[in-house]
Amino acid sequence: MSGSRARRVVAILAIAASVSACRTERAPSVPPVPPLPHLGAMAPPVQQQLREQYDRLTSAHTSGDDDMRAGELGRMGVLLMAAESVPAAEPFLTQAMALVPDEPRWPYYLGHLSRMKGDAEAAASYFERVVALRPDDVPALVWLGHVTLDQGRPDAAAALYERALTHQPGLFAAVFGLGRAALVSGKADVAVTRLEAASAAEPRATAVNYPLAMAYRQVGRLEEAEARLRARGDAQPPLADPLMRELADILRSPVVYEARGDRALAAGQAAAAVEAFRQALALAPDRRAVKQKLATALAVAGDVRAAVALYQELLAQDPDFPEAHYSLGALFLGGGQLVPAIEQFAAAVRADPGYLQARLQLGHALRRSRSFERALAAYEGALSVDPRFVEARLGYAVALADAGRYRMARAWLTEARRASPERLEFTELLVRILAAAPDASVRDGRIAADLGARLVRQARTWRTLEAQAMALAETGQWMQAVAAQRDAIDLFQRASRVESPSLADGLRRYERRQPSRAPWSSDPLS
Amino acid sequence: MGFETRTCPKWGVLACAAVLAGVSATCAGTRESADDPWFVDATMASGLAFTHHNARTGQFYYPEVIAPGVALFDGDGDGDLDALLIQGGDFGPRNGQASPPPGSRFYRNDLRVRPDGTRSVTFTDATAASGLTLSGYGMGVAAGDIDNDGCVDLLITSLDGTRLLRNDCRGVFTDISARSGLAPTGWSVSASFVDFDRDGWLDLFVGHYLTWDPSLNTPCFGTSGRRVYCAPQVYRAQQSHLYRNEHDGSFSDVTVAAGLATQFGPALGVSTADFNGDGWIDIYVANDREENQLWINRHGGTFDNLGLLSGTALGPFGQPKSGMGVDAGDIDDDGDEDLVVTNLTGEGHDLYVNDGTGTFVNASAVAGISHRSLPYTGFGAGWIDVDNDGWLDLLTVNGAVQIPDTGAADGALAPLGQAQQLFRNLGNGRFDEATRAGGPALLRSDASRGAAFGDVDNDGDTDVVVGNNGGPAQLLLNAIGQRQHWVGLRLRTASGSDALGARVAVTAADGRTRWRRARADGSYASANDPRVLVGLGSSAGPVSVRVIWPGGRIDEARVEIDRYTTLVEGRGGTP
Repeated sequence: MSGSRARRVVAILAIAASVSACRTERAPSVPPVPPLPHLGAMAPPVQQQLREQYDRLTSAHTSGDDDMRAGELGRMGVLLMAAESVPAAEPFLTQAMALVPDEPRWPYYLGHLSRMKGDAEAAASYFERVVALRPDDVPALVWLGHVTLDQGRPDAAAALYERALTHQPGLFAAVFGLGRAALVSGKADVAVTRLEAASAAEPRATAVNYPLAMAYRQVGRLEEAEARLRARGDAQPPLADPLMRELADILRSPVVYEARGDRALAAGQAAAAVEAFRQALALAPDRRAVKQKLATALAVAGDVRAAVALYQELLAQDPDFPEAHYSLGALFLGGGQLVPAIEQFAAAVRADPGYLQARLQLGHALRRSRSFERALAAYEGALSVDPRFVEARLGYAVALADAGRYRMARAWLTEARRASPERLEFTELLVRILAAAPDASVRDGRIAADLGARLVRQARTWRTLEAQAMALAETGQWMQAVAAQRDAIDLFQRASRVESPSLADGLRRYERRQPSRAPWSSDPLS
Repeated sequence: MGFETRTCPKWGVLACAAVLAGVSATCAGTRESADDPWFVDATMASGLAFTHHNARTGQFYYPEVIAPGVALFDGDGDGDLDALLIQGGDFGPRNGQASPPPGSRFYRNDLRVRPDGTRSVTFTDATAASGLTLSGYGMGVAAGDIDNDGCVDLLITSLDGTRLLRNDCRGVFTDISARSGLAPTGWSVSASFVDFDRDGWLDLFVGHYLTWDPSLNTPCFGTSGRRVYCAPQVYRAQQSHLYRNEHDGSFSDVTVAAGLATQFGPALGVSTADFNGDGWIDIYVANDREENQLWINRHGGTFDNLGLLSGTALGPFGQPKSGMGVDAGDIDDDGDEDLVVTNLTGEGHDLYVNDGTGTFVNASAVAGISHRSLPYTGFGAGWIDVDNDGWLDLLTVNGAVQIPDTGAADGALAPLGQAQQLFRNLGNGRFDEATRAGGPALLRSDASRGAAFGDVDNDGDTDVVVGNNGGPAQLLLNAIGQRQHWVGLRLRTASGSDALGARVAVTAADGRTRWRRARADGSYASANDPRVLVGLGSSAGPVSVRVIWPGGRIDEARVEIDRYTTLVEGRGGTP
């Protein structure tokens, strides 16, 4: 044995002897309650809620009941997590977990808390603990899969998603996860198969489209990749996760209620949105943004009278409240009252010249009232604020055409297509103008037919088929025009369950071998 | 359940301590990393004494957490790198407060190389003599020779427009903004001098961020009602600009003509390189919480944004990320430019690996970068060969933007500090975190933003100057790179300017070829040393060099290792 190694052995033996000489005592069994963090920056209702819970916790602390203590500790930790006090939350949850080690809730929250801190390894460790306690805990399996994938271990992640599927066949999060795992591991063909399956199971899950596009790209299916990129989004069915739902809902905070109202409104749940915004206002009565959202929710829920009254109350307090003007304008526009709608949108723009949506809707309302020059000015104003505003470009093009300035509309749309090739609306409008503009010098049936064919390959809708039919008719391909128009009618009826007189007129025209001379019969942007 | 504790008699504790001390002394000779940090903090020793003023007063003004950038460039033409440190400012009248903060500072490098080869870096504040008296709330800086006189000029970005400063070649700068043709207003952060039309004159891309002024500042709240900085989407993105050099000190705004006007985002990071291998320089823009853009040069003065189809616009699963710092470099030795983009805590940085055609795969997770970067908010980033083993490593400088709720009584002004991160390239598509090996200088908690990478002491390895938000700037000298062989190249055009965008293939005696690029842009709001440093590992002997100049000309040469050689387009090399 070398000299240095011998010295190490002696050291280790000495340490062991020293430690064994120490007495073992049984310390008090209840560790102290972690301190409450400084709450002064939080909203008063949140402070009160946290203090109340802390009082309950300190009462339970001396009860001798580990389950009760753990429950109150855990709830304190969850409340602090919900309040984004991540460092403060951790000791409460850790203590709860130590008190009742077989309770899966606390390591589950600690897993998410670790994720919030960016500590993927700790998150994985906690989720593994949950799964060890509850092998059929699907949310834990899915989240463990996610953090494992984040760590660059796609095969291990895939195995976890497979386990989740054994307990809940067809679970979207797991199917989607398998697709993403295949993509990360470079197995593009497998990724295509799995992601296509996820998309087929949930066609509205636009979150699938970007990774599927990347997979398509890697296997050389570029047209499909581009189509999926155009359809990308972040929508996906939520994972049924009661514990995270509790985390999202637990805090009595005006911000939380407002966010809940926003989600409900976005999901079309107007009644729930009204309730949530009312709860937010009960805690923060002076938040005018919340009042405005409440009014919007009331309008969507059908209580237009109450909505108008609330908007007017807001405007009486602040005549320059742009969102209230805008919302009133939208109500009037929805009711077909163009003049008051124009007044309100104009007031919104005066109050906030950067209010893009107000400028856009002002343009639309002016166009529908056939004030084309003012409409063009409104759209131009929007584009001067933000040149990327595609909807304003579309509105401008339609206003040009509605004003009879088809040549300019054609040029505008040609440039817009070049700048934003992914926006098929520009192509559709251009096809219509090339096929059906009253001005013969603007029409070009050959280009229209070519663009129309490509358009329908990219997106087969009743609108694109109608445009293609116009183009086919312009080039004298009457049978093909009739077929396309029939397909358009079929798709329209399947989507809306009613008939379209204008589509029927178009069919009759093509059957009589007459081309269309009106690019659209109603507002193409409605 | 109770908890057990152990109490030790005093002699036990003393025995423990004595034995442990003995073990430590015994083992001292076998410990390496703690004694040989890869970077040494030379800030104080060098005389670099600059503190950034961010004007944080509790009003949560958005620009408070964005700056500053820094620059390393040879301002006086004496062959070593000087430093420009960008200062913040105030958002309104000081209302009786103490005198305004000192402005941006220009530090002249008085590098001394002794006969025995040891070096000392001394930075001397030469601001007054330099003419670089900059007012306003500064953001960052870009460096490049706009008039082909062989001297580096500067573009300063700020909360209120840009400033173009011409160098008289003696390190004295004149503000020529008035006749430059550059937009006088707008919030710009990162910029890049780039010859996009291959006419031999540097053009300019200026990344603009958001429309903001104090009157527009919006109160935003976290779930608890605590005041927080708003997300960037609360404000409107400003259009970035592409300017063409008109050869007379002025620039023309060609943003619309080039096709860049209708697609832009809140731009924070910019990197220019030939991403699709067609010989023309493209522009990559990292945007904050919106799609990044990869502007592919179509040769006729126009660009197409292929960010989405290239795979570089979003995170691996289609999520827009915060996109602050960016750098391009050949990390896998296949001859093309790969990309890294730094992001916010919880998002993970993105590594986009190029297949040579401008199509990228997001390899962050399998490379081991994504999950290790999750706890950090990254800003300045650089592909640098820290240890000169021939593989590009990654150094990111980090700092939070959102006030963490520490639960402390003064939580409103809690610090934003984070440690830096160093990722060592293992040469197999994976990276290992080597921050601890980097040393205590990387483990300090700072709100870092800009980072300029360059060989400050001219010893053949890459050093770093870091700009810290609301804190002192740092000089980190590389302490290990010079232990391996290297070759340094200064690539200059016939007019004597740095040939920004030139690509060079360096083939070592062992037959391995490494591709590098002369660049001053990348990182975050900062300007880098345009010289090319290539680590050769243990491979000794001269190397062969093949340079593809920005205009397309190709030259070849053989150069000596462990020294800098200047290669002039069309004329060969000189040491």
